[in-house]
Amino acid sequence: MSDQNDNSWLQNELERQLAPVRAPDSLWGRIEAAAFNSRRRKTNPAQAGPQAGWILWPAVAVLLLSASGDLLWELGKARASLAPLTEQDLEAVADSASCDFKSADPAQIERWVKAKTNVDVSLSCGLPGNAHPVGARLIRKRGAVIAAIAYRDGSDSATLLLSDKHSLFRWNRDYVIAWSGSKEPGSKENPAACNHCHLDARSQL
Amino acid sequence: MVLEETDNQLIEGCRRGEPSSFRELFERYKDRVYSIALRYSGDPETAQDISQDTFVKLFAAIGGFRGDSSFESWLYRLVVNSCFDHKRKTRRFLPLLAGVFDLLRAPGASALDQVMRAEMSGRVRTAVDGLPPEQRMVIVLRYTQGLSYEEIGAAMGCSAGTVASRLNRVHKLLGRRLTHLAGGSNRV
Repeated sequence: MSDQNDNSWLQNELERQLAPVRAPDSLWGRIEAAAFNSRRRKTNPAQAGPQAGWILWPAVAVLLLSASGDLLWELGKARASLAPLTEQDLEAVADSASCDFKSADPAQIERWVKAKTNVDVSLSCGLPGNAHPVGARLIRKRGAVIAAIAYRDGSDSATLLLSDKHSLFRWNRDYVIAWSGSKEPGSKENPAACNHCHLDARSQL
Repeated sequence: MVLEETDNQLIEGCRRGEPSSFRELFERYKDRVYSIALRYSGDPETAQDISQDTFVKLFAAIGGFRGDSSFESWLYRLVVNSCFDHKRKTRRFLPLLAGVFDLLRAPGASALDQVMRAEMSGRVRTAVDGLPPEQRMVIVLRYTQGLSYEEIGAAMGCSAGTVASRLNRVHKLLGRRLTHLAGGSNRV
């Protein structure tokens, strides 16, 4: 009882200090917004907030790593199949005399390439000047089958290399093309191979 | 267990998803919820956060309220849990300053008394803020809402005896900390 009397001033003070107050008018708006967001998260799991995001991130990271690994593997294989050709075989394939299949008819060469490599290539669009195909041969390198199509343009020669199995971007291209000739591919004197690619196969490059 | 008819009707309306029932229930209890939150946290912004959490939980869970306890008791339990869940922010001093200005404007007291009283209010508030969460909540429920020991026990999940014991301990603690202010209080 004595304690109560001694503390009466304290209790009075606590009653005064801790008296109830009116809630601000803005409170209902906050609650409506929070309830709306809560319902939206329940109906749309994609907006389930940061926690769901953290759950999804590892899956995304695994997919990205997998995709990048696949791309590196494809790049490595494509380089392995085509790069050695530029050093060892291009001299040989540029010689039309070494063709496995000799023909100046683009349609025949198309069918031959299709039969040997399953690559659909269009050579029948016509080439500027005197450029014309003279034949084709197959090259096998590290499991890849590459078609080499030889061209003549006057005294110059050019070779178009096609591969279907180890292209850099096989999901949107049927083949890749490399070039070898007696002159630089962009030179005005020998535009045959360049013109073939850029006129005919542009959509696939 | 006795529910007021009007509360029952509002709860049924909420279960049916009627917006007007949600709003009416909010209007009926918003001041109590906000008062507890403000007196517990000491910060208006935090108090709004706690009140918001409380009502969102209430509206989400009201379908499962079976009336085993009173609605008020259930609501107080939600507020108490929201307060305990909420991280405490740095207390703002605007309410305290506003109190000082009110006192200085009050007629019938000398300037010295007013300043002394303002000083004491600040000390009491600081002392309450420094209490552990459960002791602070006991004080808040007792003095903000005037709840009985049994009601406080129901809200906090403990017995009335435990509430009485905590309250007694808090009174003694605050009394010791603030005893030097008692003289000043008596002068006012």
